[in-house]
Amino acid sequence: MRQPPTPEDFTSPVHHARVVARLGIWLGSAFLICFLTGLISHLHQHPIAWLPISPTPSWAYRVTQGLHVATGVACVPLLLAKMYSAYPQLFERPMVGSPLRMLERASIAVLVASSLLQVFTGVASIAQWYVFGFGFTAVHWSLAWVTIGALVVHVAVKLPVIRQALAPPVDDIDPALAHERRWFIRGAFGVAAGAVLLTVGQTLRPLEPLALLAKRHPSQAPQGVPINRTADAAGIPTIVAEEGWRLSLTGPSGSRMLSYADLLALPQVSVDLPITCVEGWSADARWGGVRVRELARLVGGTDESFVGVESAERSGAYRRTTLPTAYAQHPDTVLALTVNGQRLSRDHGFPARIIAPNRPGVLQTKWVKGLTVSA
Amino acid sequence: MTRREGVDPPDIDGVAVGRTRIGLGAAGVVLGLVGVYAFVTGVPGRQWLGVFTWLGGVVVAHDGVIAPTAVLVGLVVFAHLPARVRAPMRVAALAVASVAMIGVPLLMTR
Repeated sequence: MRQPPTPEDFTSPVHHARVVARLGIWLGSAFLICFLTGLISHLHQHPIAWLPISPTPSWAYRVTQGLHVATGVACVPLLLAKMYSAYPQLFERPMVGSPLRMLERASIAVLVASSLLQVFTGVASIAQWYVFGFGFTAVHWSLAWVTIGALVVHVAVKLPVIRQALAPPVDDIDPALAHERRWFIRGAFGVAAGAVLLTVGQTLRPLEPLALLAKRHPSQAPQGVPINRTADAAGIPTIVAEEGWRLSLTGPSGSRMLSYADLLALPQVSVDLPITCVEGWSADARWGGVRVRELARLVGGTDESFVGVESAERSGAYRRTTLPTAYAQHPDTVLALTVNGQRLSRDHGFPARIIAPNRPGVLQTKWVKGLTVSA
Repeated sequence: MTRREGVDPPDIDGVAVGRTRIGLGAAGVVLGLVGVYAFVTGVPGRQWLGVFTWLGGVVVAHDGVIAPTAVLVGLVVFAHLPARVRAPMRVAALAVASVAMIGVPLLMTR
């Protein structure tokens, strides 16, 4: 039987160390952007007391999460190109070798496996294709650290090779080969840019007509805002009548039940806020309703109060959310009854939903049935 | 980076290791351990087998199917093209593979 190939069997110029190193810089930078913007998204969903996130500017999450998803999409061609370029290294001899060599190969195995799975789960989940059968957020979060750690180890291991590859060439290489190498590096960058261009319209409105590879097209969505989770999917009863519906308010001075008419009788505000989904789309909208801090005052809330929000949905990780003090007290944080001048549709959270500045969509709780105000 | 005899320990290739690389390597291990901790504490035990299966599966899919296919296409098709055509064709192939990877989840959830 023929032996497996050796790195020398791969003669294409795109396997040259110069190509591998340059693609590595692009991919590594993309991973770093994804990691940092992912940290921000995680902090929104799992707040840390000593590292609070401010509700202003209202567009911040739109930018960081848009960047996270766009860069993640760019990682698809960059990762494929990088791994194709470095593929011959898989066949380097000795296959196992010294303990240090084994350690190096193990770190690369971890890097390859976690990188591929990060990019795959990311791309699948922006389409809401939860084919992998495990909880996306916890796995994507922990593997992000594993990936970035393995990447740093990889850079440490390869540093001399990288330095050599990035130094000006000493040998007079064949211009035809150099031409092919350059084409591959620039081409991979071009494909990455193209992939971003075909998706980023889901958050960058002027590019929406180009968003052929995007799941969501905000301008075509009902009431101008895309719907990730329908009322049916959330297990909301088919008929919720305004007459029978009550909002439960609980606070330091007791409890109150407010009817839809009670809410309408309170001072109404109108706020222009984007809604940004963790999956990368965002849409501007005009929301109308009652300030959350106004509601909190009705049950003894103070300037220091934070507010727990409970949804009528039957299950789901975001059934209960919390508006930290800075959010609960912000004048633009509203229990919305209308969107873009229309009463909220059932799928948009009728009768009432939360809308707050600079906040992931999963925390903009729909079908609100209760608010719990802290002292 | 020049090797300082007797100061820098040799690494696998006999090249100087240096403090930068040791520092980077240690930082990487720490970052990775944060991930392991997050995994152990955040991912329910019953999902672990699924995650490890997927981790192995994507490597097998890439190293065993996607990359060999690309190499084979290179050998059978691209190697016979003039370099002028070969370079853009390679990028076109990358574009097709990328669109497929981004597009399949969209098709599956239509």
